[in-house]
Amino acid sequence: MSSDAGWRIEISGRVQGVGFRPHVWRTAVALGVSGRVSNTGNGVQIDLFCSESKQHEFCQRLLLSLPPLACVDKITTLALKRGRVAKAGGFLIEPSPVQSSDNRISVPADLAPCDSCRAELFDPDSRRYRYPFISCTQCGPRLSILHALPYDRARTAMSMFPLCRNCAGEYENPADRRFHAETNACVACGPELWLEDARGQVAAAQDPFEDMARVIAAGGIVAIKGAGGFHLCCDARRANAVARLRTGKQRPHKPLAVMFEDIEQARACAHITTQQAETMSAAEAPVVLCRARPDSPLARNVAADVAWLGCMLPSTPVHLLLMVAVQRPLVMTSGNVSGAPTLIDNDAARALLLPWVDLLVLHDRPIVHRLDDAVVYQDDGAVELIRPGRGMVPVILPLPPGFRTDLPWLAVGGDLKNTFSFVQGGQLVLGTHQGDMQALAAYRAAASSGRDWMGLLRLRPVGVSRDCHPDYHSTRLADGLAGESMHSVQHHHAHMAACLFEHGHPLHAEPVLALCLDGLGYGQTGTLWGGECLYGSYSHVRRLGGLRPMPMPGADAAARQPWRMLVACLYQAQIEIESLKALWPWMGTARTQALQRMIETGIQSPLCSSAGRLFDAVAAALGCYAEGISHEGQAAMALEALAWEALEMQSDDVHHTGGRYAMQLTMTEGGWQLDASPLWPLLIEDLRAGCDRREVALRFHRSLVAGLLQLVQTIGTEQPFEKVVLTGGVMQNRLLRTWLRQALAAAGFEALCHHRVPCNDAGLSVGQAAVALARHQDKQHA
Amino acid sequence: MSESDTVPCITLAQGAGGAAMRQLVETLFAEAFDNPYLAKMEDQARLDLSALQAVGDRLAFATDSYVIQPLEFPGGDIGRLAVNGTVNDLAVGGARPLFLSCAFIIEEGLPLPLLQRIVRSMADAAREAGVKIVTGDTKVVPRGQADGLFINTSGVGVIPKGCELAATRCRPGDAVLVSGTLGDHGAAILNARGELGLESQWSSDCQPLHGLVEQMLARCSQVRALRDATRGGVAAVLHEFAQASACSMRLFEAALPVRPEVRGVCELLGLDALHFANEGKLVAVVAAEQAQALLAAMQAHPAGHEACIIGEVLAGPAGQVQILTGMGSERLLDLPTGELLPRIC
Ligand SMILES: [Fe+3]
Ligand SMILES: [Mg+2]
Ligand SMILES: [Zn+2]
Ligand SMILES: [Zn+2]
Repeated sequence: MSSDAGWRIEISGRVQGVGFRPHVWRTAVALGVSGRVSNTGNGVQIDLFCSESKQHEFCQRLLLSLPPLACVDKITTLALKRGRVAKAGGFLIEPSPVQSSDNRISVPADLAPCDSCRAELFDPDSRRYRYPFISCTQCGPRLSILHALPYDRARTAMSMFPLCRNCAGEYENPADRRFHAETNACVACGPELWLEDARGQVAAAQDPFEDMARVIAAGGIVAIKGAGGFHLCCDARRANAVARLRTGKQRPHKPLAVMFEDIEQARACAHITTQQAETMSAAEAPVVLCRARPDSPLARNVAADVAWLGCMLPSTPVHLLLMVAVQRPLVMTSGNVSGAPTLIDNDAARALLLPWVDLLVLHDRPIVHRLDDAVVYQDDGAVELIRPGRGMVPVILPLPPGFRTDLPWLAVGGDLKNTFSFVQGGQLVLGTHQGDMQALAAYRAAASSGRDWMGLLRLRPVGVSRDCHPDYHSTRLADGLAGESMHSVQHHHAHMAACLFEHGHPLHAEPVLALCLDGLGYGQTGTLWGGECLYGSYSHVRRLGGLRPMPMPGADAAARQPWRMLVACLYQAQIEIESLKALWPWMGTARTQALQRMIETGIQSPLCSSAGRLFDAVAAALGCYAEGISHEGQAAMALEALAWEALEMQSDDVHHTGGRYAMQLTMTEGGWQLDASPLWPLLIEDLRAGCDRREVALRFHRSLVAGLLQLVQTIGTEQPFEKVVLTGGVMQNRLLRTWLRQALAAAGFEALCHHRVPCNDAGLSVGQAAVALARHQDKQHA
Repeated sequence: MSESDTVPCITLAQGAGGAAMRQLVETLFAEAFDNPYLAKMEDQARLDLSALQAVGDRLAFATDSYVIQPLEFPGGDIGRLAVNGTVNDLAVGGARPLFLSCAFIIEEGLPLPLLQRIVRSMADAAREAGVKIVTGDTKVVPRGQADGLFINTSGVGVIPKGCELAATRCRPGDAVLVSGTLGDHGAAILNARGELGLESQWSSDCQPLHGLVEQMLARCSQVRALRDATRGGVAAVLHEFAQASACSMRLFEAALPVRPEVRGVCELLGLDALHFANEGKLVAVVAAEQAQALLAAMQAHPAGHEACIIGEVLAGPAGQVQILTGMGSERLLDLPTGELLPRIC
């Protein structure tokens, strides 16, 4: 055996914070090879001193039985120079060298308690019995406590809790499952939990979770410091408590997520498929949107007028202990007030929450990165990310073939559901969602979080991407973050590129058609878009068609008040609205007349080809929040819920292709135009004939799918493409998305849908980065 | 323009420099603006320096052009606007306005009686504001090359010694005041066009502000900056202040004075009264300790009787303007690049 051979193995992927180094250690020790392992800014680095055949065997064994949460993207092996081979035996886990990382990034995500820790938590003989900060190499906080990479206790918020002798023993013992568990802690040395109310700290009771349970059972509201931020919770079956919570949080209607103790408890409230149950139970513990049961015992004001109930299981030991103590579903919503970012700081929570919550659950472990709960859909076997959050962020995507890997880049996203994307070392990192940029607190938080991330990744971008909208706050934010070259990317092109990017569509692959169904974005020629067919790829697109532009009387006010869009649509369809008082008593009043004059004279009534606004108009016609909405997409979501109800009442299934409300396709100067006007007389006729509004909602969905399919097929006769990207915030509508996908497949197209990158504006930053990178590269080639 | 079918109208000849023009100038402008400087009919007004020096130690000089439809509206007309606008531009620098020039660009076919009303209204406004229109010019352009009537006025005033108003002087902690209700002019003009068909009537706030400013400066030594909130409204002024002083401005939504009728127009249009034009309102920034005194001084003057404290200066990021909403949250106030564009996706 040539004892002076040596190998350096570098591994990237999800290899930090998942028990990877202990796994390396065990594998090496089992094989009897000497060497060392450490975390780096890019992943894990192993030096192995053994023969080549032993090294092969080592790698095979290492990859064969990875820790459950580990995931290897790339592994490279180099022979070590003679002088660097250590002769001494043994295998060491070495402290991680802090080095500049301009390569691949490994940022560990927060993970819900693993089965072993759960068992210990409820084992009276365990020294961590009921200890709310129990964790191991397989679970616990990660990104939320991370100050810097590589991931080591010294660079996390745990550094302020020196290990006691017992914990240190576990940390150093290769045979222990907490061998090198960076978050290791116990009641003697780790973080502490306590309760406060308006009078100050609540005297330590036997068990704080019994106190919480008592407050909740009495209809109270409890604020809990969770992993990535505060949660507000109350009994989800008590309408009064939910109403109080809504008042305090200033969130009148937006659906609230519900936490269940286990799947069985959840099944009483929602239809949960096996796959959805798996996703809920996974270490990421996201909020999974499931179909609510009509006989659900939950209070109606938890999630009224939506088809989906946000369901989650306990994501930390604190939540786990609470759920066991209360024995009932709890509203579990982010602890913030009126659109501001979720609170992460004890003092801020005292100031903003104590005035109206009954109990504050605090602990002394600081939150470094704010992480809201992730929200996903899980259907047809695939998870679709709607809100990037705890457990799911960062989303790390490889650059598709053809993209240069040596161009660090920053993209600042849009104004609503803002996220940032960071490109470094052949990967794109999508950060957490930061809220609406018009809220000053969110804007500030986004600015500081952007700087934090850039620091964490040591990112020095050569360029920055942003939206084309001249008045987006995020556009201004970009100016403040980096003085590098700025690249504006059209909103819907970014939506499209985000989808291509996550599918690994190569840089110079064939052009595709994108169906961008969205609320609104600044278009290519200064017009407003939201229902476009874009043809092309990353660096270039052409608009080949889309919805007929409609006036938006009152501009943003039309997005907040669906009745305005109904008046606009009826005006465009040349329907005399005076005659409609019987259907809509508010029609023909002074304000609708004034609105009509605004449309006629073009005062503050920009044209916009938005699918979202069309949904708003139909929703208003069916009495869904016509007067006004309090959160984005509220009316459209109510419309979708109506259609689902109709569908579930029907015996015949999904296989209707056509729709009763025909739309009209015509060739115009701006390409193929799909005009929804013809649907209005038919819809009105149905309503007058007393047709159930749920049925009308369903007919609208079917008709829109048929119209869009016709649009795509017609364009397909003129342009070559096989793939159709389905993107934009409106694609969150499951009925629309599913039917479009089926219809396109039946017509011989391959539909590309969003999965890992949100189809809504939270995914914009990904597409912005992709488009700008592609153009930057093209320019350098030219 | 039904008036133009039955009454005498302005012709191209009246702008040609000949007898027709001379007649127009003498019978209309000279007579209306009558003052010794103008009466000399020289090519320039000759102003006595020593009289100016008696008022202060710096000359203030401002110009503005006025383009508006309709030419006459509730609460004023383009002529009154042209006088008060330039008077106010001088006044917010702390100057006492003294002399104006005025130049008319008239579209062929403008009814003479309309022009006469506007000119007389200008003369009245000048008299009320205590300024003299001492020089002027008239051009007539062919039909279609102007929209009825454009007016340019320039003004000269004198700044008293020691008066140093400047946007750069705003300091964190200062108070922000406004002299009255927001957006009356902008909303009145929209309504006067008749396009919205709203029943209620209210007037533009078109008025001179120099008297108000004089009273403010006489009573308060710590006024930092003044600005009349015309195009772009109070929002634009605050962005200018924030940029110039490298501070943030914070407004209290609940404190913003808006007439109910104006609020109605704003709601209908989906616009913010903070973005609407005013023609007789100013924004003032003053040291916090003099905020109440300044408020009292403003409220004691007819042009400021509805004055309010609406915000404060913060040490925050330079150029940022934020609103503390009634709900207790803070939002950023837009400064649109061009026209206000919808943002909601
Ligand atoms: Fe969008
Ligand atoms: Mg001016
Ligand atoms: Zn564990
Ligand atoms: Zn310990």
